[in-house]
Amino acid sequence: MKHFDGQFVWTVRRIVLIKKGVCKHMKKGVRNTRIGAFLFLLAPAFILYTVYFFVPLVMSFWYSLTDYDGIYTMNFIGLKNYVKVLQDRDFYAAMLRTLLYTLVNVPFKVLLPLGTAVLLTSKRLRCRTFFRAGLYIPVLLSSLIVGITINWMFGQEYGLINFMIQKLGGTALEWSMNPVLAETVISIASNWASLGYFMLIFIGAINNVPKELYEAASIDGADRWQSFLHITIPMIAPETFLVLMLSTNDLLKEYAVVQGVTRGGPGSSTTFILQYIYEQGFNSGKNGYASAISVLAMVVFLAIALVQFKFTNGGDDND
Amino acid sequence: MKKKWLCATLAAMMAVSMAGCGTAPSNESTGAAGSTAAETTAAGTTTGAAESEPQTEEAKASGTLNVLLSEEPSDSDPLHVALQTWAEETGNTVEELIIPYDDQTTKFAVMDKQGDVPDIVLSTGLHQAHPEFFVEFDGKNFDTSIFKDNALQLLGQAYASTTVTGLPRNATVTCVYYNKDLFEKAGITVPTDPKEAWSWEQAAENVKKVQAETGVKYGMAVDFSRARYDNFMYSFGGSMVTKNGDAYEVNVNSPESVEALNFFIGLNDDGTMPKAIWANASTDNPSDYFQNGDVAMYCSGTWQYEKYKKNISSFEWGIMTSPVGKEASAISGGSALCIPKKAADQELAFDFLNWFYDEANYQIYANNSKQISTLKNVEYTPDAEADVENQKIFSSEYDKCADAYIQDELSGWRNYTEDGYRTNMSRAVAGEMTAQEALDDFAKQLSEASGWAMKY
Repeated sequence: MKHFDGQFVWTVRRIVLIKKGVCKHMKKGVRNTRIGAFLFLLAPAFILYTVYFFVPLVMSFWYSLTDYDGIYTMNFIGLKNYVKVLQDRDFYAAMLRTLLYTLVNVPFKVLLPLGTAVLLTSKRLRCRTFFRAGLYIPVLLSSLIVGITINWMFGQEYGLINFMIQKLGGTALEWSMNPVLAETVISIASNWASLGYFMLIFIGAINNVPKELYEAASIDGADRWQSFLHITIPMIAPETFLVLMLSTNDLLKEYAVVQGVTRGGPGSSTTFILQYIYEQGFNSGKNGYASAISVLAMVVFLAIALVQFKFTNGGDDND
Repeated sequence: MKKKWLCATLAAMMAVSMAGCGTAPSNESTGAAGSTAAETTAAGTTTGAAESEPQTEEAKASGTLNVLLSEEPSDSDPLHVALQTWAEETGNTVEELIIPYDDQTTKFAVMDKQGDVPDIVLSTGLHQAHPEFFVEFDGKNFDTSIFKDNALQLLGQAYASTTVTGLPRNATVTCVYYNKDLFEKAGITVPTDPKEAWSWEQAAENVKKVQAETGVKYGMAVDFSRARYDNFMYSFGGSMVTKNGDAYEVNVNSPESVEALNFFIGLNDDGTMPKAIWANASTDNPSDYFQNGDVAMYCSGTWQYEKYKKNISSFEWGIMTSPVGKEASAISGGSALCIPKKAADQELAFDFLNWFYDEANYQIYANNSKQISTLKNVEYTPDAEADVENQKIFSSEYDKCADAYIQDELSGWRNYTEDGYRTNMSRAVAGEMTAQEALDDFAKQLSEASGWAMKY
């Protein structure tokens, strides 16, 4: 069998990119008008970003330098909160748990939607719209509702899954009490809730791959698997990177699903970093301390994002 | 030119949509459902105060009383009925604002900063932890001598001083419900006379026997509440603090408290209690377990009584006198009606409070609520014989409130730190810490936050 020549793919891709490229020789007046319109239309998003992200970020950093209790007490204490966080065993435990949870679940968050998207873009599948809509419905649900729904299914005492297991003669599983099972349930809930969203991203990317590439590959004797590996995967690299970034971000900040399913238990075995921040800030009234934790967590998350950018080259190809 | 108009229109639409993103107050809470009337509900809705339109001349003359509650009241809710009755009699209107209990501290603080507070707050501790937000009832603006001393001390007074910032609405007390059918099937007679109360060891032995004889899932369940657990601690002779002269010392990790927690952990480990609840591994409500007939004995409080009368029909249930340890113990709670200092219409608020605490009106309220009265000269008078007997048990439980509990409440320890206590207990039940480690850690947290020395 002839081996498929991947070089052909990169040549076609360059042609597509040049066609999509911006003309370098615009007139200055036209360019200024376009830039002005661009900034004008960007303004609302920029204002929203400033008000709802940048300003709270600055406020959070300020709170982290105080002993703010969320009500009236706010005395400047410098870096004491940070020193305390760095000596807090529970902080490290929560952070480590979060990182491990993310590491284990990222492959599922990328591969499951990708596999589903490949299936739902297959011409052999009937009622594709129906399946796409059905898989997207969980995305529309609030994360807390997702957690509560999954909890109803996997509840240790009255859950549907244990009921079915017992009806079939088995022994009910300790979904809540066993830390591994508890985390598995959270993973199931999290993947179920996000599958539809990432699937749509992949469907869009796969549909945008030029059909000529597959035709050319077919002529050259490539089978479906080779086409998938050497055409589909490279061509959807930017979208794969996007899904990777978004899913990593979602997993690092997992909170509502955990709250709905296990509340951080048993004990503290599913208490991730956001849970810990919430407990310290709102349950214990240590807003300043919680702000310091969240600043440090942000630094860690930023480092992870930068590493991802570095290793995946931002989703760009390498030529 | 056409393009410029199009751009301007699009930008204006986006700006308008930004305004739509702004919040009308909405009170969805992320907290799990609690088992008491005073604990968090899963969601709340906003009506009334934050959204009220400017008063018309007619409304000004008649007055609108804005009341903050912790959960949406049913039409038959006794306080809701009292508010509506007052409104009809006086020609005023009432608007109810709902903020779940767990969110009240943070949300009320924001409301106070903005000067947008209701006229009356139904508070379960907010006024005691933060008396600076509320009007002091100093005897001149309201006659506080009508209240039972215990009630005023435990429910009306600030934690850290003798300032009275709340008028006790009604008192609740912990009590123990039991499934009569299961105990009868197991051949066990349950005590209702305090003189015949079981010890905790006897109670544990008996419920295990009920489990063995009847196949019921669990022998005992306890609300996932610090206050409910504290009954064990006080029964075993423990306490949160002790007094050393004028100063308090942290006592939560005393040998007695450790013994209580070890006993509690044992009940969870051997399957007598549903471990997932106290290991913080489940959002299940132990009250549901009892109502489903899956628990023989359930440690909760008087606030469940009316609900059970309406909901439980599949088995006979009753109230037993609570087990005792080295001491008898019960935890009394309740709520109070308070007036924020920045309330728009304090006069109207006082008008309602004077009406509500009139003995004739309060008697009607007490009979509707079937809770323990906080007024000296008024008591709930049940009609049904079963209710009369149960009311006697409630009163006897109320008399069991331990001195250590009252001392702890007056110390105001909860002002300093509270949440770590239950968190550590959960971790101990889950096996992450020993009882000693859990209590030592919390003792250290309380000592650091309060400045009190640790006794152990």
